[in-house]
Amino acid sequence: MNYKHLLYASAAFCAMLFASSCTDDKTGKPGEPTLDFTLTVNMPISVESPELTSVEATFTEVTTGQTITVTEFSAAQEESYRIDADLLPGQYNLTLKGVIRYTQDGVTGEGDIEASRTNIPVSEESHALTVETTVATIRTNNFVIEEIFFTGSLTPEGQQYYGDQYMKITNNSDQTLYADGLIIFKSAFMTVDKYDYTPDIMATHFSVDSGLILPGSGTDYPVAPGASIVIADTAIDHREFNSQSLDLSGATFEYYNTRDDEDVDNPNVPNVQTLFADDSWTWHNRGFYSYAIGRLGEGVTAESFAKDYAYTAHYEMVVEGYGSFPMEAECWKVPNAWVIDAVNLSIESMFMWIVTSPTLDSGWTYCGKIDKDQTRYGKSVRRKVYKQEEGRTIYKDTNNSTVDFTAESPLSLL
Amino acid sequence: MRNRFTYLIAGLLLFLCASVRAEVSQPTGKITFEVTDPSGEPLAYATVMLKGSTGETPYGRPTDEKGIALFTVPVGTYEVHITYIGYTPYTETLSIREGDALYRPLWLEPSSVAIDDVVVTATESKGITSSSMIDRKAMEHLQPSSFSDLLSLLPGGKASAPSLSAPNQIHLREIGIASDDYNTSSLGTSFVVDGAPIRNDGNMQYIPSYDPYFDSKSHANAGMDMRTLSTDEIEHVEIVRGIPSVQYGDLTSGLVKIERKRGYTPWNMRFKADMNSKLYYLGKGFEIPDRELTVNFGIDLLDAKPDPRNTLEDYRRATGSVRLNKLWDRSEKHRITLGINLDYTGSFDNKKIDPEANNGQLNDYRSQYNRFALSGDFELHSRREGFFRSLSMNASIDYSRDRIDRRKFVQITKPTAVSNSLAPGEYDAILLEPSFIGEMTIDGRPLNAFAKAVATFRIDSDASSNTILAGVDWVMDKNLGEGVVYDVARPVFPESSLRPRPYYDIPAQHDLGLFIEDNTTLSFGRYQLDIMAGLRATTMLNLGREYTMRGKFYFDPRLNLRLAFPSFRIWGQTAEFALSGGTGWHTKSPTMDQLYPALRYYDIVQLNYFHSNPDLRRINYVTYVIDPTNYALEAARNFKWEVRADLTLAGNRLSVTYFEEDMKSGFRTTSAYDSYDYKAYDYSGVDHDNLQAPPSLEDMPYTIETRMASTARTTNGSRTFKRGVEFTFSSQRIEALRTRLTVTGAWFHTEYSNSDPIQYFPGKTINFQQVLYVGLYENDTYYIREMANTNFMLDTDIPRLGLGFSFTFQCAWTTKQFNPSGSQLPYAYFGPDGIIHPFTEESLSDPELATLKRYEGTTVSRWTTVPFAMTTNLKVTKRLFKEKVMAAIYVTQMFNYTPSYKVDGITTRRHATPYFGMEINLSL
Repeated sequence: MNYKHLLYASAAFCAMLFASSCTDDKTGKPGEPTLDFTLTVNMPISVESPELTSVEATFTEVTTGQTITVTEFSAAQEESYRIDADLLPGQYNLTLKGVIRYTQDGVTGEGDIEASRTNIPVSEESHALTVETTVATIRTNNFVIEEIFFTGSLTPEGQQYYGDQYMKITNNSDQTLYADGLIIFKSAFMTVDKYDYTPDIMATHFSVDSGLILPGSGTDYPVAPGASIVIADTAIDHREFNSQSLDLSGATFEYYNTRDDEDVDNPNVPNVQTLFADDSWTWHNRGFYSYAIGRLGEGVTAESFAKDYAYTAHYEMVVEGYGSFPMEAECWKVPNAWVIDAVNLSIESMFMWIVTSPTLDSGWTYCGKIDKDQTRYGKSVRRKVYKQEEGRTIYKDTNNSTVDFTAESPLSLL
Repeated sequence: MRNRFTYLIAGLLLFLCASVRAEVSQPTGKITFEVTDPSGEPLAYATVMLKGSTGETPYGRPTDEKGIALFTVPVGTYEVHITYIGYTPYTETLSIREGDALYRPLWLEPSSVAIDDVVVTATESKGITSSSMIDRKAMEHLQPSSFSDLLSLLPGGKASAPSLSAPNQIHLREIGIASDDYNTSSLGTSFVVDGAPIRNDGNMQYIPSYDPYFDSKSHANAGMDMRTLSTDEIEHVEIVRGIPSVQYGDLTSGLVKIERKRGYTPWNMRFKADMNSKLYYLGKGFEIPDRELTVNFGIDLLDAKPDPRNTLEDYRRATGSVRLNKLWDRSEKHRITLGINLDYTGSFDNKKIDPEANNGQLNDYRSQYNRFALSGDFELHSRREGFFRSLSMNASIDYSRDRIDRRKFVQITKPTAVSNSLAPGEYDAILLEPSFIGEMTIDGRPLNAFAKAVATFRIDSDASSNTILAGVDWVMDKNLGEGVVYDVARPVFPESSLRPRPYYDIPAQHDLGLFIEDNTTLSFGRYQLDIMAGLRATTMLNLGREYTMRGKFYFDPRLNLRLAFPSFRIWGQTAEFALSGGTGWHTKSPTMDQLYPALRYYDIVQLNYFHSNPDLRRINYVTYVIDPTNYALEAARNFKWEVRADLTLAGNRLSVTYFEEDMKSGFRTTSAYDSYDYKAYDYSGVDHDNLQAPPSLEDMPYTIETRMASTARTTNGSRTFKRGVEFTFSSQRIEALRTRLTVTGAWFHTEYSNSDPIQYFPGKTINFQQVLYVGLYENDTYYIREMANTNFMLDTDIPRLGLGFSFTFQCAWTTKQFNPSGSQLPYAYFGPDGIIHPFTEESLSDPELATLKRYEGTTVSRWTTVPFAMTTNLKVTKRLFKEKVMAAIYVTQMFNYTPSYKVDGITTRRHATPYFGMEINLSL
């Protein structure tokens, strides 16, 4: 009982102490005039000609917890906006969220930007601040690659198993989209081997060596906002063959290679088709290649693609002890505008370059930090969640898979 | 080039005729000496000198390989001096009258004085074709682990650390590349031990696979594995690089003649240890002089680990040999020798992956090779003058028990269905278990028999002495093994298109050879011309009607000439000079695996219905059975020519050979594509949810689709072109230093290319469809290699101290390679219908045909050169305790100069690691 009294007493004492200190504080003094604080917001440098369409700047006084939110803004200089706030002198934390419109490759897009600062002194001497913003996510209103499971799994005996690889594609928009005719592209170049390929078309095109196309005539496979489709290598319950694998019999699509004896076809899961390939489609299980989703451009058919989008890359191959040799690689080029989403994959110890234009993906993600990393199996690369909105998950997409993806993530389907 | 050679021969003959005319005026007589040792063995290169009483320049020349020296000299009295190292000189006086044709058989007694000079390197033969002779002394000094080590003594050879973890193939006069498509040179080098060849044609210890174990350990279709040949029982080796006598057949590139010890030897023991191996040897030769009977035996064991720290890979060899030799020498009419040899060779390769490093899973390879050979040789030499000189017969039978056991933990990476039908048709497949231990055995039991009979006759005329050789040989190869055995439900290589196959079903293969050869010695005054001209005819018996080779004879004409100029004096020293040249064809018949390859099974999926209920699954295949036999396969033929100059001055000798060899019909595997139809069933009509049994195929609709698949067949499409210069210089021992300098070296240029067009199927998918076009291309990537090296060997022999040592500088002046890319564009193409269309410029604009453009390594290639490097080797032998003990040590790559070099700005560093070993020999 004594203890309880003691507790109450000390609480009361503390409260008094707190209250008295408050009254000593300058900012808390009533009647003190507010200052005109000028916040200059610079637009993200990662996008072209951004235009701020809405903003929400929240100032929080550190000691009082008082918040002031400003949504009005005016254009300042080029790619820079001005926000005026009436603030009492003090220490503030700033959280800024905004929406921008921008142009990329001639296409207009919308994106969320963000910035934050802590302990901003506001006083007669200090009443202006410039902040740099970054793209929090791009509002593509389209599909995103949510997850790629390319490593395969290990069997209880410690051996490789890879019929269970898959890609998960999610509708990141607020409308129903159709998966029909969506193409999964595999890059022609490796992120672990860099050559100066000429002609260099990377700024405008993605060089690919194979593509899988999803079936459907246009509206056969609707995908609701926030919903996903899964394209499995083999859409069966793999636990029948490997207890450490997973059940993919519920996948939306599967890749069945008629020329491979080591493949089976689940009749209940529609098959994707190989649009073009060097030999057959494979997921590189160490992650040396990059993958993208996209569609053929307007008026381009499979036939005209084969004819008009061939790309011969010339490069010098250096063989130690023998010198450098001119080489050629034959592949296909996909205009960047056709690409909906791209993910570069690599390995930390071997990374050389990204094989997409930075406008498609300026970063890369991974499973395994060294070549043939034994710890990579059973892990995927998975896109981070940006926020929950209206009961659906919106995934983060800033076209930089280094920040958008969780590397070595647990499988979402397990 | 061949034309130039013809001119050379013609010029030579003209020159000879001229000299003959000049000498005709004087009355002459003829005398033939046949020089042998006391046992009747001919002594080749004994020096015969005829000194006239008038004080003119003496006539002199060495005896040939039969011990014959023939002179046509002006009438008069001559003093004859015959000398041969290790024998007491022979002297007599003879009178020669006009028209005489004297025949003078005689033998030299071995001298009691120990041979003064020791030769510790290979010597270039003074014979009619280029060959290297290596004798016991050289082998003792070299301290070999296996026969492979001896090859460093050949011109162009280089001593390096032994590699006992993989088969050692022989590469005569070539640089060699690592490709199974260019193995005919080693396959076509015949190893003849005491007159009987070691056959490898029945070696089928191999299956085509991507298994690194098979790839690195197999030597099927590649000839002799020299690791299996131990050197301790060898007395003398002759490696014929040039054109061998027609009595040796079934070879394209060279002949290795091995003679083993015969007669009394003390107990010999050898123990050798080097960085990777240990070798033990025990041998003895017994003699029962009363019965003229000798028995030799020897056993040896070799235990090698390619890396002494690695206990998971090793190589072991065990050999044993008993040889009986009987001489009947009492008769005045003839001398008979009979030899019987019984041999065993065991060769064992083991390799496994440490289960600790393989998640506890099994993965191993064991190869055993057990060879038992019984051979006999019979020789009858006439002691009387006359047409018939000798008859020799060899016979051997040789049986091996070879076995490869391959075990591996197999984990399917995806659900896998396999078909196990052995006949063509449509079948339902079985699903493999997710993981299992796959076991495979390759059981091969090659049985070979060999027989050969050669008779020698002599016809002497006024101007010449002719030795005529005529004979026949026959070999039979059969394999009695169980062949490839495994459980089809648990295959080690699920992706393989092979099935189990017994070897005992394969018919026996018989090669018959007939040959005749004339060895003529002509003398024109003080010139001597030796001509070896022979013809060999070979055919394969017991071949099926379909084979082109059935009933076909291959004729190998071979010609060697040697012109010895009169000895002359220069700077007060006697000099001898000889020019020789040769040309000829050589034929090697295909091996059993090449003539009777295993059937291929192509299984194409027609329906893959993998219902989630295992009872309702159905995977249906159509199986095609392909016979990959190339019935048009022919023997590999090699055409060689060479010229050689040989100069001896005051005991110093220089021999230089230029050669060219062009083998256009070597063996290689060539892939050819064919189309295969299959039914692509459409299961979309099946009610997946209410199925009671696997779907029936009867009512299921299907479309006929086509697939291209290749079959690898053995063809004669491999070309190996060799040319080069080989030289050997050996000085006389400089008495003050007890040292001799030997310089051997070579420049080799070798080209490996395809002589037939090749097919390539890119199989790219564009516009949803796999492109089913196959391109026909003129050239595959080919390989040009060049090398120049010289070995300078200083060997010092100090008999007083029992000490011998040698120091070798191995200079690799340059090593160059050039891999000109194959044709980038095909000249023609075909589709599933097999109709060949020409490929034109317009074809490139068709996206489907454009896929036939090949890219890999197809653009500019160029020479790459590795510059000078030098390594040095030291060998020391020391005799102790009245020569009863010999201790020896060697260091290979002791001091090295391997400068770094830059190519395109990239520095390549080189290093050579010393390799050393030592041994003790006891002789009791």
